[in-house]
Amino acid sequence: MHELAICLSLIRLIEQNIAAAEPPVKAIKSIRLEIGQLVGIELEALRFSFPIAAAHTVAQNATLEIQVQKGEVFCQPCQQNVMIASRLMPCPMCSQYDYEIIQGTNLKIVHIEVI
Amino acid sequence: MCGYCGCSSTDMHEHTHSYDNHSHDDARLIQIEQDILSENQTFAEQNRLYFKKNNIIALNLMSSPGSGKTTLLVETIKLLKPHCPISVIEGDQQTDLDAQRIAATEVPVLQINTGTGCHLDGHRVGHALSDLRPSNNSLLFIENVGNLVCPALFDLGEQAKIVILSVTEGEDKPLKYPHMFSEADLMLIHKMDLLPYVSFNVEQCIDYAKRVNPRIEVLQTSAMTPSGLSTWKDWLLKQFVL
Repeated sequence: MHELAICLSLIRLIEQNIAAAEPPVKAIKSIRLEIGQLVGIELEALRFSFPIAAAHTVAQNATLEIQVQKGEVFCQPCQQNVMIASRLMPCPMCSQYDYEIIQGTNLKIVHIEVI
Repeated sequence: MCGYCGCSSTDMHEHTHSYDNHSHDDARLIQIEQDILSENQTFAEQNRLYFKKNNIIALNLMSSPGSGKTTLLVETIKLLKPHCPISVIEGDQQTDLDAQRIAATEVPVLQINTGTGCHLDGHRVGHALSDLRPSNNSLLFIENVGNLVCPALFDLGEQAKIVILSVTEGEDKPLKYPHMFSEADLMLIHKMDLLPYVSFNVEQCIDYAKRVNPRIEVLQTSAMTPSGLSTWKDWLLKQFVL
């Protein structure tokens, strides 16, 4: 379950980002993430892991807001862009997997709300 | 001291980060806009630089548990030792059993126990390099934790990702675990000596792998017969020459 490792990285990146904030950050209220449908992250596992990674940190009471980035690929056989929700899915038009990803692999911290 | 994990390592791994600090006047909302994997990517790039500088060919070997990675490595080391220096980083959740098997071939080996972790990452491999210090102009095998899911996401700075799929596992794995197979440069269909005893369609497996990754190379291997390793040996030596 690599989602726990992702959450630990997330907490470290946030701590680095707020280290020099003025006025100093007392607590983080919420964290907005953007996660692509094709990046290979299970949102349930991420939500499960977050409180474990955030315990005893400045983010321990933060809520996790996840905005999903839609998956879009260029299908070679169809020669056009199509939307897919998972790498487990073939192209909905031709049922093949021969495609290149256009978008949907973001795994990004957008912003944090702090007090 | 390593500023990332607090260990006493001083070499190579200074972990110099260049993260922008986006603290704005607005104390309520802090824009970050940063990739969470950028942290791993930074370490992976340091490793890549180290490999390049010292002409080390690093190969990341990934598979499910029990695919025969370690046996393949032991036999490969015996074959290649006369041709080039070799070292090995072993990743497992627990025990140093694999490292012991590699050590018996008398090449430098370092075991990483990931504990609850399900994959190796750029940071752990960086530390392993500081301790192992592979020779210049050498081949480094990194045997990842047995897992067809998580290791796919974590760049180690390797030159190539190799996925090993044994014929006892079923030909549909590339479709079931597309992230792993789409990241790999090479797939080994392994334990070919067992093919007569199992229901495994080699052509179908290659077709599935090419569907998720049209550029993937495929070799058929067995650690039990000398002929089962010949194409693999050639592939490795070709990497080394390049």
